[in-house]
Amino acid sequence: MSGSQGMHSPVAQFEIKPLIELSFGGYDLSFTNSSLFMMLAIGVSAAFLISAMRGGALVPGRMQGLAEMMYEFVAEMVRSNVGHEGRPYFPFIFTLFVFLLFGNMLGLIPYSYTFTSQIVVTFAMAAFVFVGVTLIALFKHGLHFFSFFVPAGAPKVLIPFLIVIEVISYFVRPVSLSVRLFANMLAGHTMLKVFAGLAVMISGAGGLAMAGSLLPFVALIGLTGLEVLVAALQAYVFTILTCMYLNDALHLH
Amino acid sequence: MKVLENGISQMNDINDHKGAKRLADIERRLDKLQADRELKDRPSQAALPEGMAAIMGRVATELVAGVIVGTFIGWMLDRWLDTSPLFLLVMFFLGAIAGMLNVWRVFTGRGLAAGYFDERKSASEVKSKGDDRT
Repeated sequence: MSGSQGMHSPVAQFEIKPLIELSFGGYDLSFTNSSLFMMLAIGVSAAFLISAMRGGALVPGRMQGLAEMMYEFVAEMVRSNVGHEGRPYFPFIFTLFVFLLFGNMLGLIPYSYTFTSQIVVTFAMAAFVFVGVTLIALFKHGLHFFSFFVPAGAPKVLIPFLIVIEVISYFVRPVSLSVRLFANMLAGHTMLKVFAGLAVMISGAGGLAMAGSLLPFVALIGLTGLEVLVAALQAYVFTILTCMYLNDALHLH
Repeated sequence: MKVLENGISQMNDINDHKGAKRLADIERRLDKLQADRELKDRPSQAALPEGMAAIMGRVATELVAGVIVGTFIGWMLDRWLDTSPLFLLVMFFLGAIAGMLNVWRVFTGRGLAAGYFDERKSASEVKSKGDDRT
């Protein structure tokens, strides 16, 4: 890990390091850097929202304006994608969005850890959404929910075949939901570290090569901007897909 | 101003013998407003990012995820029924088909909605949504 070695591995940043070793009943429950940043995401977002809304001014200041913008953004997303019946689920969806947004953004700070770059984390979240949405649909529509998988007006011979395809395509949801977020974060952060490592490596050569290191450095600045966009966009995509799944569950076609 | 006059005349009407009829009329119009609002509040399809890269990313994820999920289900079925590799092979291809089906949904504007639905209804919904966007 020494600087004189030149480049760190660009994937070293994804390493899970236990900070407090804990083991319970044979399970490894260590408090890791990933858990730390999840708690930080919760803490920072809660602190931000509470402090921003403390004043509760009629004419919002900057911070309050930002908090209200986030709230209205998610509220509008739920309203336009799920409709009236989506209201009870707004707190969950808002929490999901804020947690992901802060997780992605905190991960962009140097030396921090991006927990959304781990498939276990994103898959656990997607699986929770998937199971929850399926249960909502089952409670609301009962056995009628299974008509979801039966194509209307298909030839009788093909129906069993089509049902299997539909069921698979339903189970694809949590996978594609989690893979999309995790892959974007993983790829983006690897790319950042590759360019940063390149800049350090070239400048390490000294002399005229120092000037050459400017090139990856400038690219790095641009990429960081792009990653901020991706961080916000992927939090948005995850949330809006959750809304769409919820809409499917509440209003079967 | 005309609206105000109408309102005043309606209020006066309530007091006379036509009042009941007027009230019914107002009720009917309120119902209509409520219905219109609910219609407007009906969910539309989500506005996912529509850049070329975003769509390509989604197509790639859908295809790969379809194969992964299909193969995984097949593998589990094989372990359960001890029929390796029958279901693994069958479900691999069905998974690929499911992935392509999802891609078809992406391109026909059905979003990621699983399941079939009334084609005519969905076509009109998709159309009205396209109008919204322009």
